[in-house]
Amino acid sequence: MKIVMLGHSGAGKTTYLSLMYAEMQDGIGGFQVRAKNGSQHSQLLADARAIRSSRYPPLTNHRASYDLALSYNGSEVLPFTWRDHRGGAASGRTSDAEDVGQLHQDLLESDAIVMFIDGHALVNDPGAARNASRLSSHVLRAMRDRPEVSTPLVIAVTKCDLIDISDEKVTEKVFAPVAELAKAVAATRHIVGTLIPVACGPSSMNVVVPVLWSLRFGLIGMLVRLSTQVESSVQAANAAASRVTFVDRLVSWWRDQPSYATMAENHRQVALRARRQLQPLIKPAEGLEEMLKDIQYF
Amino acid sequence: MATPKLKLTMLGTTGSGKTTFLLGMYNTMSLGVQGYFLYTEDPDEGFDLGEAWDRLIEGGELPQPTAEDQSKRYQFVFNHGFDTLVTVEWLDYRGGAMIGRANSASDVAQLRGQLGASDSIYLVFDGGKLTPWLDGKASITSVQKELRIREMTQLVQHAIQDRKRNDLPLPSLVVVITKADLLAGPGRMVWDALTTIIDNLKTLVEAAYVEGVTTLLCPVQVGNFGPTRPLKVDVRDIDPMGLHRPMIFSLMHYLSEGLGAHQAQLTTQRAGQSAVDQQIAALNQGFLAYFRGRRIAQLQDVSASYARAIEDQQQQYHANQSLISRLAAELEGHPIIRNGKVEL
Repeated sequence: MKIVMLGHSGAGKTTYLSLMYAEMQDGIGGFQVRAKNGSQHSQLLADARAIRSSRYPPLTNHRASYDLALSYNGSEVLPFTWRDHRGGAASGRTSDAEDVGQLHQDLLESDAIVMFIDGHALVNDPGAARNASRLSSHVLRAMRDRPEVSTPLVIAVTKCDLIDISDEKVTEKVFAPVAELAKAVAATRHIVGTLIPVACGPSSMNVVVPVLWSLRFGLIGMLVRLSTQVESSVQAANAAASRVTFVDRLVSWWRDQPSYATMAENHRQVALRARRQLQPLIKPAEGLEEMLKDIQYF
Repeated sequence: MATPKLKLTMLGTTGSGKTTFLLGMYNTMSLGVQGYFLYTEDPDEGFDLGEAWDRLIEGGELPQPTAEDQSKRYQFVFNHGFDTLVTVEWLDYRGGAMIGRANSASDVAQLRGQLGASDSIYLVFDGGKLTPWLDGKASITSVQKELRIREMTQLVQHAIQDRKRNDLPLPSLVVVITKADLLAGPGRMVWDALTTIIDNLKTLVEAAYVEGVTTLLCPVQVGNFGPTRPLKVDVRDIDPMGLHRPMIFSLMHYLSEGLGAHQAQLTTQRAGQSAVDQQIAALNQGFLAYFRGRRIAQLQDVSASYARAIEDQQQQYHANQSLISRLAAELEGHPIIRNGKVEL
């Protein structure tokens, strides 16, 4: 599963990633996230420690890819890649930097998009609303250039500890730039969106929600794929089994071809393997469902 | 189904506000208006348009008018939500060729060719240039001369002839009046000025009344900048209005014209299906029908494929009809001239 972060410079993407990693390392409801690369693991944890003491990481100046894995009660259930981009990649010319084009390519190939908008800037700087709205074009362009595949879209409103989200006027200002995009998402069947206020600082808020919400769809997608495979393999096995005869065994042996009995057995093995892969995913999927049941979506 | 492509050409003299209109239109629609989005196919073009808009919004810097020897072509994508309705090839034509100061005859031929291929033509007039006439201080002829309306009318008439000759639907026209804030005057609101313009539109812009052509009269403004138009404006005066409507109208007209083609295709497909069904019925007659099983099955497949095509066509027809109604709602209260009659 590929999760791509989209956002302008200073929206808090890199800070989010580090803190999310640290919180998911501590674990929640039996879920944990771990980096496959040792140095990335150490770097993310070091950055998170700094953030917790109010020292924020510098702006990312390149595209970075993190190979992570979600585990449940100690067993890996879903590997995923997390793509971080230089903030300028969302607001630059393709001719000026290579990563501008790469961002579009990553969005094309993404299984989930986490869009970051700076809540504090949205309340205090009118230009921020324009910038946030412009992120919509990236999403629209990418969605047009790819087939209609189910895609979760999280709009993470960062720096919510610096604004009063209980104030209706504030929430209005924060939501306005993405309201049209949210309406468009709600009208589709293949994109599911949610808006999550996030704070990444000494006192954090909702940090694990964007990642878990995205992964839930990855997990559901895997469950659906495996269930379909089990179903179709069982059907194929039954169809082959119904044609098993002594003559077929003899003719197949003579022609050195797999008999219907062998084919039925092969299909049964495929179904069994898929079922074995599927079983351990059911509990985590239910766990995520329960954990995220109160999250509103559009 | 392939996305339809709409060709649109914008004509207007240098300084008429074409570039500012385009900038405002793009930056309004790219953020989403009533569920409609516009974005550039090329992200870099979108970036440039966004940057120019930021310079205006933040620094009050109006864009430089397009030089007389520079035309600019944009490729836009027009969406309703995530559904792409149409791609738009937008040509901001340099003034030179239009007013006969082209470098060569081929420039004029190129402009005529472009207009002949256009599904929608925007005639962009500077609202400020209409005020002397509205104030009774200048004749309609002098305004026409200053706005080069006669040249534009001739070009539009050529385009209409070309399209008729090539059996293409006639283009829609949008009379875009930029700097609409300037239409107001002593004791005159913008709406009063528009009423005067509508009353005199047949004389002012003859092309708007050509038989078979549908025209929208659309005042637009980016802000209330006053008549002096300095290169830098006060950002507090920025107040975009009506900028998305010309595009909404162009699409509505384009889809409405397409409805006729849909109907024609439906008629052809129904006739085709009926002919095949008759053949099947004939083959099923008599004792020999038993031996014609393969041929009958083949024809039944053909009939089924006609049925599928008819269903698709009907679905598309209804989808377009409902979209046209939604688009029309956005234009409510705006004067549309159809076959010489003003509809509000």
